[in-house]
Amino acid sequence: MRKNQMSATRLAGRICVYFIAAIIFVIQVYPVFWIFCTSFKSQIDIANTSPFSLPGSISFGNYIEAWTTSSLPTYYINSIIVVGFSLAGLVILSACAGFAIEKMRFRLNNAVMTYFLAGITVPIHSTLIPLFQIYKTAGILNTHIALILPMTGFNLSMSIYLFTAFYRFVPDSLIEAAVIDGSGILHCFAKIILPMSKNTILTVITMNLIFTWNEFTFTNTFINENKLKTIPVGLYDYVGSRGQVNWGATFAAISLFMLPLLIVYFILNKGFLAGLAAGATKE
Amino acid sequence: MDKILRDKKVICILLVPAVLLFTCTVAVPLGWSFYYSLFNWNGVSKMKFSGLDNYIKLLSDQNFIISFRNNLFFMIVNVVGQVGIALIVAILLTCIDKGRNLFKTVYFIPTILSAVALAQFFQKFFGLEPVGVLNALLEMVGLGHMQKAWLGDSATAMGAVIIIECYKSMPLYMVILYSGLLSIPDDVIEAARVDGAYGWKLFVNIKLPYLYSVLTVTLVMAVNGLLKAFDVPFITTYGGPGRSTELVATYMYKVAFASTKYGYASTIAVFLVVESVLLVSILRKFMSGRKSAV
Repeated sequence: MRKNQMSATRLAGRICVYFIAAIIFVIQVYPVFWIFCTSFKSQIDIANTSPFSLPGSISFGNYIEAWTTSSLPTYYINSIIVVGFSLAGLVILSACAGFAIEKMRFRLNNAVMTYFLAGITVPIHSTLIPLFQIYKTAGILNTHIALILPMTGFNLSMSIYLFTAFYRFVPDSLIEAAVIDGSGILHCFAKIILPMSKNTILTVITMNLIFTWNEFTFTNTFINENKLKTIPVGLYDYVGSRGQVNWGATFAAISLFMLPLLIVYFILNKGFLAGLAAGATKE
Repeated sequence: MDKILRDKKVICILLVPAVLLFTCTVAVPLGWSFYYSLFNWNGVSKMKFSGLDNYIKLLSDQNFIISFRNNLFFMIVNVVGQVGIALIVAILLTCIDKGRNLFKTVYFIPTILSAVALAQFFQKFFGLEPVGVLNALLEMVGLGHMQKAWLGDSATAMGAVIIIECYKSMPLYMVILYSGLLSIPDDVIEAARVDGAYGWKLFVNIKLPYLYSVLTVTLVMAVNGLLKAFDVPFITTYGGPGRSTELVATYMYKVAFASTKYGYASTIAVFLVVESVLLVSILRKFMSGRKSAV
């Protein structure tokens, strides 16, 4: 009798938990759901039906319009260039620096790490004016280099930190064995250590993909030629001129902007979320 | 072996590129901002040394004071909101046994969305003309008289922007707190249960102390992130209407790139750094002090 009562309350508790979890689930996906829904609606649907309604029919008209009447294809290419180079730079630079800090022996190991970690606190806005002046003088304002450099530089801190956290668990004996076998330390790093850090590399890539794909401030500041803009800033301008009138095309463009990131996230999320949490908590 | 690991050439090859890039994009510009803040300068004409004039001006600049006050309010409400909700959701996640990972993965989605996309969504969501989701909901539950353009009214714009920011960042802290909760050893919880600690009591007396250091990390991250918040208010409301959602970073950006007062904007930039470093270290000190007292 008592046992039954217990399991009844437990069951009620469990239903309650799932009910709340489901509500939060709906809240968290709602913007994405709404944006995709609106992107399929016709102009008449948007004007005449409630904001909750589903699209009457699925049509890709808005996508075709967004793709052909805006510079979206150009923005896409620009984003891929900027994000691609930044990610490559970040992985290479932080994997190397992290290895030097964690495994090599020199007097300043800790000092260098502290130096990099201080970067996490620095607001990017405090560097904007000098960077603007430096890039202007160097003649790279309005080039993709002016985006790749700060996007890589500012994200180094977190990436190096994640790499050192991984290298800490690589036993020294492994390096020793390789070195005794006659291969140089750099060779050992490239051939043995790097392949081992595959998961860390994926975490670093996913995390920085989110940052750089969505990056707004540097692009908005250092680029004013339309043909060089990345998607977020290009969209910001596109939405400014047409967003109020043509919702369908606006949200189709936004969907095309979000989609690649969502796909990558759903493929890589497991390691990424774990790595992110581990990075923040292992101090 | 030791000699190989001390090879200076190898260390340089591995370390110098990263140090160089980091120094050129973060450290040097930061120092440069301090230098600029001592000048009266519009970026084009000759720089005129003005000593601490810009700093004195800062203290009496009404717009700056408003944006600083806004920023503090924005930060306090958001820290409580983000970390508080994150903690509740993280606890909820630990109560789910089937499909937990799916929930966690989906809950994180708002954090990966761009501020540009979220701003567009929420502008329509809070909008009145045409009726957005929120106003339509109000109508449905019979509160039609409360309908308004939430982002367009200076009385509610800040609240709306806070909700957007909170929505965007909460999942990040949820993931961190969740992993903190999981790292509490099972035997500790078992032992507490045997001693009769359940539910709320178990949480406050056993789990919370274990979670303390993780909680500190999330608080520091949240405070730091919110002090330099920019994207959401800049893109959604551009600091408006009036100055109702102006924050320190958005104000600094406008002074620099709309009014081209580079010298004065650098002073605000310096304030932003000092404020961040100061508050974060106070918070760290406060939290570590409390820990030893427990």
